[in-house]
Amino acid sequence: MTQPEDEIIRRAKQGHEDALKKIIEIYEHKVAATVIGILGNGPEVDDIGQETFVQFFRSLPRFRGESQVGTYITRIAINLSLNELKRRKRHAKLLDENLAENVRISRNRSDQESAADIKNMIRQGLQQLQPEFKAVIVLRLINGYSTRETAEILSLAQGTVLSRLARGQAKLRQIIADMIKHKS
Amino acid sequence: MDTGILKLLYRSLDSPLKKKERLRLDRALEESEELRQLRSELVAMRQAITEGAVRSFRPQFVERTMSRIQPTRSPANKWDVLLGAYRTAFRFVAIVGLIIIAVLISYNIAHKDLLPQDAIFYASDLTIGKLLQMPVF
Repeated sequence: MTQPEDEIIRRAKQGHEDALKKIIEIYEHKVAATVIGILGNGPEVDDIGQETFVQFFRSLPRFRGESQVGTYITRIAINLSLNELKRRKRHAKLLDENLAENVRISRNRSDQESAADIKNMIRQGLQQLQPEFKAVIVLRLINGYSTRETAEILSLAQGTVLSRLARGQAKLRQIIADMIKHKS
Repeated sequence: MDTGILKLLYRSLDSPLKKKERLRLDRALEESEELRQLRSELVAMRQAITEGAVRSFRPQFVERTMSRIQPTRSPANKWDVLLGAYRTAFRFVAIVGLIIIAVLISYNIAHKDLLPQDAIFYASDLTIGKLLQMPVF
């Protein structure tokens, strides 16, 4: 932990509101990138983001600073997002319908916004990946964690992270290729 | 395409390769247009993933989160904390008391030849009336 961050955490442990607020301000973007990367930009992501900070504040008395605050918060965000994915899986039928609707909307829009459409396609493709691939891609490519940090957050071996990254990217490339083929 | 080369290509994007592996990949890239194309696509895709990420929640996220954590810090919950502390303290007293009683009963049972059955379990026929008549009072 850096010195100012250390001080913020110390004050947050004592329950100072300004310190809690500061932590949310510092890590909001990191948590948003993680949660939205995993779940897509749906209505429930805000709730998962809030819950991430609530859980972090609850666990503050046990936080001893062995890992970076960012890594610790990201781990909570990843776990909550993956749990949400499991919950969604139970409603798989509904999700499929939403996805089909999203793709249809995107196709209509793509005639006008082709550059934005590619990013859209990638975002949608990412949502179709299996959670284990999605998690490593979000942490490595969106949050910019190294493979070592990604492995630490997900409690995996670095070799596993590298292999999931490779397989995830290969699958994503295939999904996007299928989308383009389908569109044309 | 050679699976080994493909693995090296993917790995090269996230981790440094050994000198020998680097040379092998460079040679393969020089020789294969398809491999170069794949590498360009992957680099572009990774860049689009990084740049296209949404990195903010709805406006006023900080305020919403703060209002959500407020109830856990309200006075009502301070009472819960106080009650919890009392419960913890008295649990200790109760456990120690039970241990002492168990030890005393065991001791009495061990000396049952000297004690009547009632006295082993501290069951006395002493009433409050008799107690009050004692010279102490």
